[in-house]
Amino acid sequence: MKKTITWVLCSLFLTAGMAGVQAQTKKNVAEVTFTVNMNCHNCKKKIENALPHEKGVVDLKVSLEKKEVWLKFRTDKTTKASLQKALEKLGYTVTEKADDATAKPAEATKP
Amino acid sequence: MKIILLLLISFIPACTLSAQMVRGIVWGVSPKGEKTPLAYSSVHWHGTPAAVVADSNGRFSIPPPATWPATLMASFVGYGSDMREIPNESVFAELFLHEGATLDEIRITGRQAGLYNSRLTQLKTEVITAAGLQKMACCNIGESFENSASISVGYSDAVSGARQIRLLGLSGIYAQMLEENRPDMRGLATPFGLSFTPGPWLESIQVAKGIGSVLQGYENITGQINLEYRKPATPEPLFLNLYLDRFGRTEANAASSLQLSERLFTSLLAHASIDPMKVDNNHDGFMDEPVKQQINLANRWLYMAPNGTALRFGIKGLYEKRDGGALDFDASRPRDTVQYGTGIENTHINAYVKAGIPIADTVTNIAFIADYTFHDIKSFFGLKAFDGTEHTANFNVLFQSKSGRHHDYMLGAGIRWDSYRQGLRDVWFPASGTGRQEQYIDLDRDETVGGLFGEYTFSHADRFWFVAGLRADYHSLYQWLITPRATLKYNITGDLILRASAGRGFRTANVVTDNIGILATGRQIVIDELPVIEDAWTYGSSVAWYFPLFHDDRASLVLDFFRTQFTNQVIVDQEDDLARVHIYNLNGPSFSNTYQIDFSVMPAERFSIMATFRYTDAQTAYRNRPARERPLNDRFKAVLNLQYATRMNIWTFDFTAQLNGQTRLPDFAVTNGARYSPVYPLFFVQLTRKFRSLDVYLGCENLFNYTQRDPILLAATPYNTGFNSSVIWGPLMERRIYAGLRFTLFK
Repeated sequence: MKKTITWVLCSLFLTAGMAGVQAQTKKNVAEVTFTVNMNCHNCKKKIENALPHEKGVVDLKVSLEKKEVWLKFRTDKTTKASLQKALEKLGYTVTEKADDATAKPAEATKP
Repeated sequence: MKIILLLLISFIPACTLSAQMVRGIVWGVSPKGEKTPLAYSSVHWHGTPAAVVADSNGRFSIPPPATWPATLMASFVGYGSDMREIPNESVFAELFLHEGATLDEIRITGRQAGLYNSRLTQLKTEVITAAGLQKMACCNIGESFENSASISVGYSDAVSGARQIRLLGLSGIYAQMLEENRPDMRGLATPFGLSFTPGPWLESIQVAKGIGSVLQGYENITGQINLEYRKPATPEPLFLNLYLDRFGRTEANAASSLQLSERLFTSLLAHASIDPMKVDNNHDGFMDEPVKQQINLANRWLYMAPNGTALRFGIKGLYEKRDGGALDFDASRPRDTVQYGTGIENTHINAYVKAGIPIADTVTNIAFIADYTFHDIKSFFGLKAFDGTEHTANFNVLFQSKSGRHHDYMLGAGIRWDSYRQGLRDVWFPASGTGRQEQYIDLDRDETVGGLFGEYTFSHADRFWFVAGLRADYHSLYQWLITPRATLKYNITGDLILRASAGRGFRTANVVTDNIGILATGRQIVIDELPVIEDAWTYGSSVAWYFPLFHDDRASLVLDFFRTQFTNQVIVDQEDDLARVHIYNLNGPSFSNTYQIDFSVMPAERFSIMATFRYTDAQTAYRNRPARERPLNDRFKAVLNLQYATRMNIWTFDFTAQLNGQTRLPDFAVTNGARYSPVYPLFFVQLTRKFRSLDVYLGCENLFNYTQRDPILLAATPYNTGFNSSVIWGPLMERRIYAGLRFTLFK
């Protein structure tokens, strides 16, 4: 019994570890943050449902509070522009957030 | 297009702002403390009725008040209200609305903890989220408790397949089941109630331990289990779930939420399942679980009127058939002593209407709640037969308001009418050899209960809450029932929370359905005296500490203690007399003490660990004997749950290990001097793969195939007085491998 528990635990940690290593060894990986005009939990759910299955997407974080979608993607498989399109296809207004930390995300979508 | 329009609309007020306008934002705060802008809430100055509505981003601007400082108030359907003192117009106002009691709120989504101890509720509350509901096969809500040590789930007997829970060391009949805060699955539905709500219909389950609000009546004694359904206003036009397991159980669930107009929403929920296989893994000649079929439908509506009134109504209906007993039982033959079979048919209908009407100043609400339940059960266990029909109608009116920052109060009145037509045809064969004996026991009962209730909440500085409630009900059979209750919550710091509660509860027993397992014995059933209403006090307290650990800044440690003490209890005694089941009122002490510790941490991103341990000491004085440990009540339960998800939750691994404590075996079931059942472990695993709009899962319950050996006493002679299938302490079903899929269509 003990053996099985140890086995399950080990395999869980191994999988976690391997996933981490994999991400670090990939060099052609870039990150982007988009400001998206979402305002409900369901928008978040919708993005979390669709974006992981876009080609080249490695990781995703959605912050409803900041109205931001952070993506890590493989540059050899996709581009910022096609990711932006994928988000727009879900019905949102999307702008890339500048690296400058002082950029005001709320202002970005103002018409 | 819609989105652009919405955007435009939301920015119009911003453009027309004049310099004097007071601006701000309304946040909605989820039970987990997550805050998001809350669209379309109502904002006004205290003392003036003119309100403005926040835009789709929660932002608002309101003309300034006559004098400074002034109090700004916000409220929204399904949320509490908030008020802030604003010193002058230069302040950007922020208001926070916590998800309130009516719960039609926006919910936490994405990856959630499957089960957590809520920070916000007054009572110690475990929340089983949608993620928690997906950790197990969760064919029905009975299974969703496998991750919780607070609740133990077991079978009431080895033939009916009826599952029963235990909360605070007492039978599930003392916990009140609520459907969105409305009492549900009471009366004759109690024994099978857990299998009457499909897990995929639910959004979350809240298990509140200890005494709760007086609002839902006097029936809760050990706690409340509230089921939150998928909401009509959820923009998910279609959710589908299919499930299949190794025993042939096949299940289909569908949920559809539709917006029919700007203000009208509906949801349609459907479930059909079949357990077609006669399984007898322990080779005792009896099916381990009955062959079952169930069809279950619900339709729920929500109408949001322009004045803020929310009208909710709905109907659900269920039919279920269970055929169990001996493998070779032939239902078409006349029932005789040659064969032993069981058959149970349940039909259940429930309809409800709820209306919440905000009054002028938006902190005052009036609510009306009405519902009607029909339940019919037809059953036989060998030659014993029990039939019952129940009609219940309920009407409540509530008035809720607040006075100043610190005082909230609620007043209400309610009436309930219960009509039970039930009868037991008891057949037994005494050991003396006098042949077949038969008796008809009439259990008809009508109850009318009318009552007044009130609840007062004192809150101070978002740190201290004290709730005192009282209800006075006049019961047509038991006259006045006075139910006092109080709860206290004190946030000593933001991360250290103390809770305490105490109060009284009552319950009228339905002696046969509450103890359906007694029908699956060869004994005579004797009701020695007319059961009197059960009366108990429950008190307890808990301390929750949240602290940073490893990667997690919200690891938690929760300790709690609860005690339930009965003033009267209906006792079902199988130990006094080996040929009979005696039913009588308590004459002596009966109590249950429960201690529990819960720990949860997320040591790495997407990896969570939850460990919990409960110890129970439950004793009852049976007739002619001093108080002793209640039989078949597990002394402890320990649960360890590990969950790991790969990035973006593409793969999710769940592992649950349980250690179930020993139970005292009834005297007649003691063999070879073993007075206690063994301590046994149970393991559950599940693997989920997420695709776009589709989850596929594969899992196994009871991984190492642990089952209770010989669960039926004298299985070979079912008409002997010693035949007994109610001595159940362990799993009856072997390893269950299952697979399923969930499909969600987003709007």
